[in-house]
Amino acid sequence: MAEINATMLGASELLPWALRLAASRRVLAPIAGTDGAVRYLPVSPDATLVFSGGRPVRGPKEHFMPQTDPLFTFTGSGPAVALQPVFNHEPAVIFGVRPCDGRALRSLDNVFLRRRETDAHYAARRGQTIMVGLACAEPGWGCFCTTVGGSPAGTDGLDLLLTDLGDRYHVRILTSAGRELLEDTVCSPSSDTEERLAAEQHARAIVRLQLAFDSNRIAERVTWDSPIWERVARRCLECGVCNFLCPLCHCFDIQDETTADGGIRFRCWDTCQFDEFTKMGAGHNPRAGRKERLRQRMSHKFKYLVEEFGQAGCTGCGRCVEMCPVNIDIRAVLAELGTVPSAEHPAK
Amino acid sequence: MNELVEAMRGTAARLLNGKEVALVLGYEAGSVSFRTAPAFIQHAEDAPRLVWNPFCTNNLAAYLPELKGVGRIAVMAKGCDARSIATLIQEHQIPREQVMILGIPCVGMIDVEQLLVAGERGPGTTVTCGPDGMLTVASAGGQRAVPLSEVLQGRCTNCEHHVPSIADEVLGNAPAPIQASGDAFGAAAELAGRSAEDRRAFWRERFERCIRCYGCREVCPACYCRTCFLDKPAPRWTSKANTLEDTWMFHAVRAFHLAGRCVSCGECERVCPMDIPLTLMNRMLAHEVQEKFGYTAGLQIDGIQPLGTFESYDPDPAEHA
Repeated sequence: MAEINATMLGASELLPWALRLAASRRVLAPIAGTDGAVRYLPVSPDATLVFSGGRPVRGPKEHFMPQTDPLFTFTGSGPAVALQPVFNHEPAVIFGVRPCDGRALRSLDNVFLRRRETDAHYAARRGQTIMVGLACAEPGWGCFCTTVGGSPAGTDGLDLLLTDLGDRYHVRILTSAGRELLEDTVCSPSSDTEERLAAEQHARAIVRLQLAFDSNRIAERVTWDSPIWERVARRCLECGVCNFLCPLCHCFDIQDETTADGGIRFRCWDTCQFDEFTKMGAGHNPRAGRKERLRQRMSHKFKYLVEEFGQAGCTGCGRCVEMCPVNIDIRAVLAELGTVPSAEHPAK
Repeated sequence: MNELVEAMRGTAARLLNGKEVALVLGYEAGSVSFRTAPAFIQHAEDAPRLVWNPFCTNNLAAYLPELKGVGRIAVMAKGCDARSIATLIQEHQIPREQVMILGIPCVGMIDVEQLLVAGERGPGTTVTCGPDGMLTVASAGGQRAVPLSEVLQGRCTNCEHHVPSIADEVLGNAPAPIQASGDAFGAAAELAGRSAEDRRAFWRERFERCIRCYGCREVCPACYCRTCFLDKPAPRWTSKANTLEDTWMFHAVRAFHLAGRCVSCGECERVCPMDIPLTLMNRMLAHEVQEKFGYTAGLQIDGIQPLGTFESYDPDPAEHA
């Protein structure tokens, strides 16, 4: 069993600590840009870390799987082509990772590290990144982590878990990497009272999250021929908001871009909601419409990944729920999938 | 509000029963009280699903171009939505006789981001709208009353067309008069007045965070190109790499395509997950088209739009470089 320990950190120590760490590695933290959108950005002395309120709109996924990810450059052509791999990953620390997003990385590990091939870029980034988590004190209205087996104070995928106690953070030490990170700051032992306060805060957040649907044997209920797909998908606009904000969606495209004497091959995020995603060279599209695409999104998350790894491709972060332009709320879809009969899954 | 909902449901049922329309596009309750969802009503018995409240923000005109073959369609339309429909008819995207515009007098739509404050953005929060224009927000932290007028979406504070001028029927009673309190072009004019360097920095900072989800494009009723230039695999006009240049290209081309066509429904900005103030560009171009050509989008269903034709006496863009 891993050694479990805890300590206390003054709230005013957080930024100086992050800045000290930034001297030797890349350090990202939730920082608000203009107009308010919070993302994980490199820390700087004048930055304000956004450690209160809801989850950042973009999760830390993009650090491990950048939206545009160069693989190699090339010069020349034909037999004379020369490839130069692009592979320069640096050690990193990410502050303020929400438990849902930490847990999402565990699932991404399944995809990129536990299949027949290992993704070298993902593996390099993952192996060199330390995750400083932040327990969720204010879940969003779309959040449902507890429904899919997570918790606002979950520790999966994290090295440390901070709990905000006002003027100080309760720090739960989860890994040796996390413990080493704390050597760069001043901590004090946690008291019994502080342990209790942290536990109470966790409990308060958990209580707020009601079960949104029955996740038991969910893969069996996500059926191919359910009438739900057509009805719900009718209003879908086929944008990529849900997939691009998802901490777990990982489908990508690979593109070459050339100039007269060379070029670059990169991969970039793609989404099953776009027409081009499955369009064949000759023009046929096996997922021709929004019904097929909604079904794919839901099936990939709650059927295929469950069948392959025993874990859903969703940690209930609620981003897609809150940001969908037409209120396609996957919680409602999944709740209904259990009740609407289909030929595959007739009513009892 | 209740009378209006009754009128909506009654009209939808009548039109469907009488086979006057094949489909009614409206709004139904969303998964939470401060969201609604676009509703596709095909049977009179489903008409009671229709709702109306200040969360009916979607511009349903966005669905029309692809529904061309469905038969006659009745659409619940706010002032801005009706202008979008007029533009689609004018651009031959749907024949006039195939769309029945059910005008809804609108008192403005709520900016949910602004309405819900810290402590209210969590599970269990409900919002109810009183007939007096007061909203009640009930959350774990207690109850709070807010006047609708204080939490309107930006586009609604300077709306000049809250009652559809082009409609087959206007539902509900005489509209509550609302005064445009904002300056429609104020923010855009302020930005336009800055130096080129400042403006470039302004947009760089915002486009840099775009994730190219294309929510803005998909929600836009005027963005109906069957294949957007962005999606063309060959030739590829913009890279799928999310570089600043390509993102900039996308937003700039979209804005130019919308000049003299955008009705300022503001849906692009509402759905943008990255809070990019997209309507600033559209506002500026609408302003220029109005100034140079005396034309406002969506107020007519015939004629040709200024950027759809040219005359020898057109203003010379070089003079405004």
